[in-house]
Amino acid sequence: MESGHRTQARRVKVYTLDGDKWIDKGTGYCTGELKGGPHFMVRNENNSSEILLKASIEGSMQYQRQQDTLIVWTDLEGNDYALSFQEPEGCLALCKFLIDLQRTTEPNISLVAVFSNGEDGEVTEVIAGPVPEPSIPTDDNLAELLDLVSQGSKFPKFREMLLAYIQEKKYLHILIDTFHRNETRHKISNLHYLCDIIKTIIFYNDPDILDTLLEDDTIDGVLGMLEYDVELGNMKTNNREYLAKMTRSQEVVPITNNDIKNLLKKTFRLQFLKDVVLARVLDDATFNGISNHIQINEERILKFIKNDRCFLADLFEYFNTDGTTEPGLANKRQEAIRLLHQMVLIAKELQPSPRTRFFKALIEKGLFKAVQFALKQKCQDDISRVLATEVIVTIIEHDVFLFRKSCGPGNNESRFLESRDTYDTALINILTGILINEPNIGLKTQAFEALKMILDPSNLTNAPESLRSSPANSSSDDDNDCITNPCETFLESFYKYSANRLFAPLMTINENNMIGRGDMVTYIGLCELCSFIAREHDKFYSHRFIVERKLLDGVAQLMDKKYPYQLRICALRCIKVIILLDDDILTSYIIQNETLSKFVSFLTETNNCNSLVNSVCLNLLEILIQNNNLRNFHRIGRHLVTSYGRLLKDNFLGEHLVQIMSIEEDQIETTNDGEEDNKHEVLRSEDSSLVFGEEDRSADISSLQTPADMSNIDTSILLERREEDGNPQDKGKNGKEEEKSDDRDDSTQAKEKVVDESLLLAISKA
Amino acid sequence: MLDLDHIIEDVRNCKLIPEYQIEELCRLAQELLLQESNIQLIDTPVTICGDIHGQLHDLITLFKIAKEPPQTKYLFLGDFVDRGFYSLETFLLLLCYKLRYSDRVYLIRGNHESRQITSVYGFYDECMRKYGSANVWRYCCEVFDYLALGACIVSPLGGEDAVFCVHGGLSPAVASIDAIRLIDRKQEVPHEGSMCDLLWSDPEENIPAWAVSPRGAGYLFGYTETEKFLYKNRISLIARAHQLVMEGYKELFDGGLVTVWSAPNYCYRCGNVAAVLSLDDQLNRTYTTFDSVIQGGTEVPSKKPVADYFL
Repeated sequence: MESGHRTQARRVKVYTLDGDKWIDKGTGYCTGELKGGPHFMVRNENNSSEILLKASIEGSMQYQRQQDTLIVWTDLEGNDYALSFQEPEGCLALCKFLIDLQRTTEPNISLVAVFSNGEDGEVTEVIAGPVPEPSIPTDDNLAELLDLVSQGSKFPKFREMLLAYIQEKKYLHILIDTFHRNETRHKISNLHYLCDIIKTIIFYNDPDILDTLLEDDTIDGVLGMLEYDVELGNMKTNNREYLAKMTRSQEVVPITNNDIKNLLKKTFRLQFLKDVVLARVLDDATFNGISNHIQINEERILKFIKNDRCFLADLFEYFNTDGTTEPGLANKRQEAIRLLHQMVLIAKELQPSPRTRFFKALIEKGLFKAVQFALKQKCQDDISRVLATEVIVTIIEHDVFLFRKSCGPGNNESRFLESRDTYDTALINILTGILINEPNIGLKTQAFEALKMILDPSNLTNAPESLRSSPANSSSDDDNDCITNPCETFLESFYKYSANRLFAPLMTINENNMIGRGDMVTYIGLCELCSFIAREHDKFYSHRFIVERKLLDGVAQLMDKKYPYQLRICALRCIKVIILLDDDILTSYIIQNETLSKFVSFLTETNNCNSLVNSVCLNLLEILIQNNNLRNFHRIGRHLVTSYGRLLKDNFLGEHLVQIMSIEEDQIETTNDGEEDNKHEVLRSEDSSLVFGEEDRSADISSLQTPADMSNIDTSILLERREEDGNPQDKGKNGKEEEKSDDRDDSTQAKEKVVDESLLLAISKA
Repeated sequence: MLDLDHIIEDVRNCKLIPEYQIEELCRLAQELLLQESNIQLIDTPVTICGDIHGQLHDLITLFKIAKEPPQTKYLFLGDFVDRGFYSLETFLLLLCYKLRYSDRVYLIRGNHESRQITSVYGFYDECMRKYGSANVWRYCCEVFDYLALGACIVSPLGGEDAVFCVHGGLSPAVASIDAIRLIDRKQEVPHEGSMCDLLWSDPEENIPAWAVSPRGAGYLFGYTETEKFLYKNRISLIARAHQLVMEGYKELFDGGLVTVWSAPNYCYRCGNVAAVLSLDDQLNRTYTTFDSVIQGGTEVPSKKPVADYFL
């Protein structure tokens, strides 16, 4: 206490209540003093020997703090006093004096703060005061008990004290006994009270009490209490029975550590509380509190599993090829896969670095062995395959490099996998096999997703943590190589070893073949992957592959009438993505190979129905019209009009495209007179010169087997194109090119005049 | 061939439908939905329902109150999934009815019918919990891509007026309803552009035209834009969902727009009532409100525990 037994003096006005009037007793300086028993002392400011007020602080007097500057109370004789402080700090200092007293010598006094809550109401908050101890629950006082417990939700201080009391006195057990007594006697209203009491305590959202609730000797009682929700009237839920019936599967690998065993049990119970028992009533704060609690537990469990000498080793031991004849092994293996799957899903929720550490541990201890085993299972064990694929997808999603890294020298895996290349190839080959040959639709879809993830260069270039921290990387040149340009190396090996096999179905579409549901899913996946690599991979690799292997011919085939609409739409979308790339070579390919002829039939076929299918077709025309000022879109538009003008005219948007082109034609004729022929020639020659030479296209992709060959091809393309630029003839062409684009500016203006009246352009402009 | 009536029965009782049946159901739904135009033309009389959000039991109540399909023709404005604990059953039930009575039940897409949103707001987790893998979720998401973007309700008796229905609201990129036909809707809901706006926008009083939406997608649109759209497209009403209204429905802009919300006691604790809007042949509006009730006394809405547990 400041200056011995006295607080610093603060300036106040003293009031007493007379009837219903506050009487001003003068202004002075107030101190809180301990000498002769705690009291407030106010001395006149003009004459410090005159005492305006000496008020003892004792018994169970309640003090109110109002509006930041007032302390108001009633003494034991029933006199009302008010101290009005000049400064809020003064008021706070004297409040602190009261709080200290309550904690030390006068535990029964209390201090409450009174706030006005805007309109006419007042809110009070207990700042200090004795905690009314919860009475021992009887069968008649549960309503008051609920009131008391509810107070705890409002006042943090109060809650804290109540929680301490509950823990110290093992109050939960007393509540549970009360519950059992009342349940036996079918006292439904008491059971409703108990349900509300326990819910309120859970909603305190205190980790320690939550932990206590989950103990072996409390959980059953807690779940029981929660069965009698007042909302359900005379009915109850059957939490206890439900939990008991949900028998836990036996442990795949026994855990001997009792702490962890206990933690597993509690985590499961907590999950059950969160998802089943309390799902409907949890507020966001409690939901998050419980979720955090679960996550912390799970993190501890995974950490244990990761560091335990035996657990993972024992788990993967099931997948060693010897001992296949052991009875029950197949079953054990399936369970092991499910356990793996569950662990990976949990790990997915961890922070990135513990997640990486856990995945790394799995891979180092032999995850790939397990996955490979599961994927090789024949159809009778779909579950394992589905789960194993999901495990791969999850890990790749987190970090593609994790799988690759595991094949560094000295690693267990190196026995199976000689180099990174073969490692990638192995994984991609397995997934390719699933995508193409697997009858299970779900698995096919998963394999497609996994492949897309592996092929996504953004996963390769966002230098992941695993790569930087890996000791394996620094040890060999090969790995350093991978650091310098992981993307390049990957693409090279993908197009060398895997792409052919992956896209084979698109290259061998049999015109007479009807296809089943499974094939449809395969083709849809391949169409998507085709547009994906065209868009995302370095075009040196991907565009070349697409052109040389004539992938777009296959894709175009899939727009044929005999295929299901879903597939036709997907094929068209693939072509659309390619067109949107605005790439010279691919555009030339599309024009030269009549890739869009099937599109035109598709459009014509759906002209008269306003359906999704028709909209997908219209959307492509709309894109061509909107981007007509860009060279490649213009080329395609003109190609369509030239080759299929008659058919296009049957469609309102097609007709619009025809119009645009003919307006341009007129423009060219009027402004350029005789040069029109020239221009067409230019367009035509462009078309052919930008495509790989005929020899090139006929060259088998297998000639790309060695990196040396690859680099040759690289330069030859560059040379080819550079020559183009440097060619004097081409200069002339470029000159014309500019001229042409000027023309087009004019024609665009003209076009807009015409089209402004039409509804369509207005739409796109808006 | 699928026995739809049987599946409907099972779904209503929250029985787990085998994965292969869901796959087939979803494929059939695709085939049906791809014949529908981006803006579906629907004749009156019709009952319009807003967000359901996986509250299967409340959807069943809705059918009790507004009559079971096919007795009433229904249009659902999207957001079938997420938040509630029965997203899968809710979506499957609607899908089964759609397949069973394709010209009596219409479904359009809400912003929650998307891979990205469902992986955050509950549908993905629910499928994982119920099936142990995400395949069922994948099949459903495929179907989402085929759902129509809106509907136009007209009277078979003729008449100039129509009612435009969409999940969210208007888009600055869509001045006329016809323009929506040019959208390629078979895709994940994009982050911007007309398709995104139709599913994400909200009406807002006291703003002149367009404003940035606090949701991070779509726009806020005001009285003037709504008036303009109504006039230009010769419609008398925009019916949309997307926002919780405590009273179940709320008309704005001199009755030119209405928000309909059909998930009572949203998230099992918002305390709101739900509503559906019925339009008769004269396009007269009748609102029916209803509360959440616990069905049949056999089950309290809750999540199902994980199917199998190893840890």
